[in-house]
Amino acid sequence: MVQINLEQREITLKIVYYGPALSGKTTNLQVVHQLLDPDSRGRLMVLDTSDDRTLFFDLMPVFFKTRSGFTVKVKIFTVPGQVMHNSTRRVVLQGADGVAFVADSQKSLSKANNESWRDMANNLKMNGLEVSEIPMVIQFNKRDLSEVRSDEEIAEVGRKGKEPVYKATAIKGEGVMETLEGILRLTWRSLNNKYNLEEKLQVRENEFISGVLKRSARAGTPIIHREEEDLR
Amino acid sequence: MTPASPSSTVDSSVLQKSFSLGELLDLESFREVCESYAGLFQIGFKIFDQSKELLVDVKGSGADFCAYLFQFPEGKARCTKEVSAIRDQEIPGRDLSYHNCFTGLQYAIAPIFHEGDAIGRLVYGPYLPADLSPPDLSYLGERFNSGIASRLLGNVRKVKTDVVLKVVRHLTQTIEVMLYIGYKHALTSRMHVEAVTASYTELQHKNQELRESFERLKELDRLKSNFLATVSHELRTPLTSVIGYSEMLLEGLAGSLTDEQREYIGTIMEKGEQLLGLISGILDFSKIETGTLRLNPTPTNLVEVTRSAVSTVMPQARKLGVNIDFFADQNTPTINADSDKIRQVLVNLLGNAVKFNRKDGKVSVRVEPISRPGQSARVGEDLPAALVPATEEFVSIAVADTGVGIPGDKLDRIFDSFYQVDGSSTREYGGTGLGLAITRNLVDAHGGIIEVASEQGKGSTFTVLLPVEKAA
Repeated sequence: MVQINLEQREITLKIVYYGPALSGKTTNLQVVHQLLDPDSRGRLMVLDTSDDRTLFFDLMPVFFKTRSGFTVKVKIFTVPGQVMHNSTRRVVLQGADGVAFVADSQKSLSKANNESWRDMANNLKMNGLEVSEIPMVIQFNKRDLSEVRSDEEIAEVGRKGKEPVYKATAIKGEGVMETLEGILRLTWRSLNNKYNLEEKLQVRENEFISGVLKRSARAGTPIIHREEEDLR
Repeated sequence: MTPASPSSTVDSSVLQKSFSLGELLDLESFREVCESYAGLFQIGFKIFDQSKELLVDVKGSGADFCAYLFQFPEGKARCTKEVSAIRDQEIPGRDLSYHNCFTGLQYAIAPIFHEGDAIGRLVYGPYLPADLSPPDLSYLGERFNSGIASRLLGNVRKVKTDVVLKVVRHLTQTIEVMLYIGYKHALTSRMHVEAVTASYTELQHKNQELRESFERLKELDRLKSNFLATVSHELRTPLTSVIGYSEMLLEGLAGSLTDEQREYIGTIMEKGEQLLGLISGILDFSKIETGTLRLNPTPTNLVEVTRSAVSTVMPQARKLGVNIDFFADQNTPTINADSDKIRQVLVNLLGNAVKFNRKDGKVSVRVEPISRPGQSARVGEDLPAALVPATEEFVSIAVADTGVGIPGDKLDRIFDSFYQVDGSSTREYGGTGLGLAITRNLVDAHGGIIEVASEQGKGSTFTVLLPVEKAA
C-alpha cells in the first residue's frame, strides 16, 4: 500500500514481481539494476540459495526528487517462486501497489504459469484484494527459447485479457524496461485516481516515469551470467 | 486511509518499515571500529542520526587543544555554538561540506545515506587545515596563554583537504555498507518471522478444520454403530421366529411332512441360522465399537474350548474335504477368560482356515504354553523396559491352513473392519468382512495378541496369544 507522507514530502510505492519458479523474476530485477542510474537506485538485495532460487525476496529501491521537491521511492520486490514458500510470497505481496507477473513462455510451463496466477489471486484475496483491483501486467519471458508459445498466440492472449502483455528475454535485457514502465504507468494512474497524486505532489505521470527510469550513462547491454543447466 | 489525511501510513508489511541509523548498526561494536579508525589518522569524529542524536563521539589529536579552550567561559560558549551549528547545518546534496571553527581548526561534514535517504551525518574533525593561519584567541581572557595554546595546536593532526575528502568518503562508504548489511539482516529476520507466523496461523486454521471434521466423523461413526446395533437387534427378533417355526415344522408339530417339504424347510432353517450368525457378528462388532461389550471371565481350560471349536467346524470341513489336525499340550494352564468369546474367536479363525483352504487341504491347530520376551507384550502400554518382566507367559493357540495365503502388503489390513483381501472373495466365500475385526477386538479385550504369518500359495497361520495371569 502506497505510503504518502505529506509532512516529509515523501511517497513510497511498492511493485512486486510475481510468477512461477525460475521464470526470471530475479533476472528482471538484475537488468533493471544494471540499467538504472546508480545515483537513483539502491543496492540490489538478492537473497537466494546456491541454485539460483530466491529464498525470501529480492529488493531494489529506486528514488528521485521531483521538481516540486517530493521524494519518490519505488521499492521493487520479487517473490520466491517455489511452491513451499507460499507464506513468504503472501507477506511480500502484502501492500503491493502494482504487480508484474513474469510468466514462462515455454509451452511445457503453461500449467506452472496458471498455478502461480491462481496462487497469486489467492494470496491477494488473503490480503483482502482482488486481482481486478490491482494494477497488473504480464510478461512472457524467455522468448529466445525454442518450444515457446508463438508471438501470435501471445498477441491473441493480450487482446483477450485486460492486463497488458509484454514479451521479454530478460537474460538479454529485452523487454525488461518496457515491462517495468508498463506496470509503473498503470500503478501511477491507479494511485492518482485514488489519491489525486498529481495535484498533491505536483508531479505528472511522465515526470514520475522518467524519474524512476533514469538510465545510467554508462550502461550498455546488460549481461546476466547464468549457467545453462540452472535454467531448469 | 483517506486522500485528505495529511500523513497516510497504512498498516503494511515489515518490508516497508524504515529503520533509523541506530537500529541498523550494532552500536557497541560500531563504536569500537570508529575508535580504531580515529586512531589511524589521529582525527576524531562524531556521528549523528536523523533526529540529531549523537551516536558516536571519538576523540582525536585535537582533543587536548579543544579542552584547553573549553576552560574559558567565552571558549566554552563558542565551542557549544560551533557544535550545534555543525549538527544542524543543512548539507546540500550528497557531497561533503566544510565548517571552519573559531579555533582555526576545521570539520568536514558528510551525510550518511541509506536507500537514497540521508539518515545521519558524519562530522569529521577537528583537524588542522594545511593552509591555516592561527587566529588570535586573546579575547578568551587574561588567563589565556598563547604559548600553551600554540603548543597544543602543534599536536593537532595537519591534513590536506583532498586527503580529508578521501578519508571521509572511505569512512562514509564503510558505514553505508555496514548499514546495508544491518538492513539486509533486519529485513530477512523479520521476514522470516512473518513468514513463519503466517504459516503457523495457516496451520492452526487447518488443524482446527481437521479437528472439527474428525469430531464430525467420530460422531457419524458412533451413529453408525448405534444404527447397526439397533438394526441387527431388530432383525434378530423376527429371524428367531422364522427359525423357531421351521424347527417346529421339522419336528412334525404341524403334522407330518413329505420329503420334499422337509428338504425345503431344512434349507430355510439352515439359511436362517446362517443369517443369524451374520447378524450376530454385526451386533458383536457394533457392541465392540460402542464399547458396550462386556467380558465374563471365568477360569477356562483353553484345550477344551479349542476342542469344542474344532468340533463346531468339523462338519463344514468334512463337506469341503479339509482335514483338521489337533494338538494340545497337556501342560496348558487354565487361565481367566470369557470362554464364549474365546470360542467365538477360534470358531472364526477355524472357519476361515477351512473356508479359504484348498480341496484336500489341511488345518493344524496347536494349543501350548509359551514364553516370550516381555517387551513384545501388552501392545499399547507405555512402560519403561525395567518395569516389564523379562519374559511373559502365554497360552498360544495357532491355527495354520494350507490355503491361498495373504499377500504381504495386505497383512496389516486384514484386521480392519469390512476388509477382505480381495473384494470378489466376499461373493465367493461369503461373510461380512467383520470376522477378523471382531476377533482382534475380542483378543485385545483379553489383553492378548493376535498375529498372522502367511506365505502366498502355501497358507497362513493365525496365532492367538492369551496372557497367563499369575495368581496375585
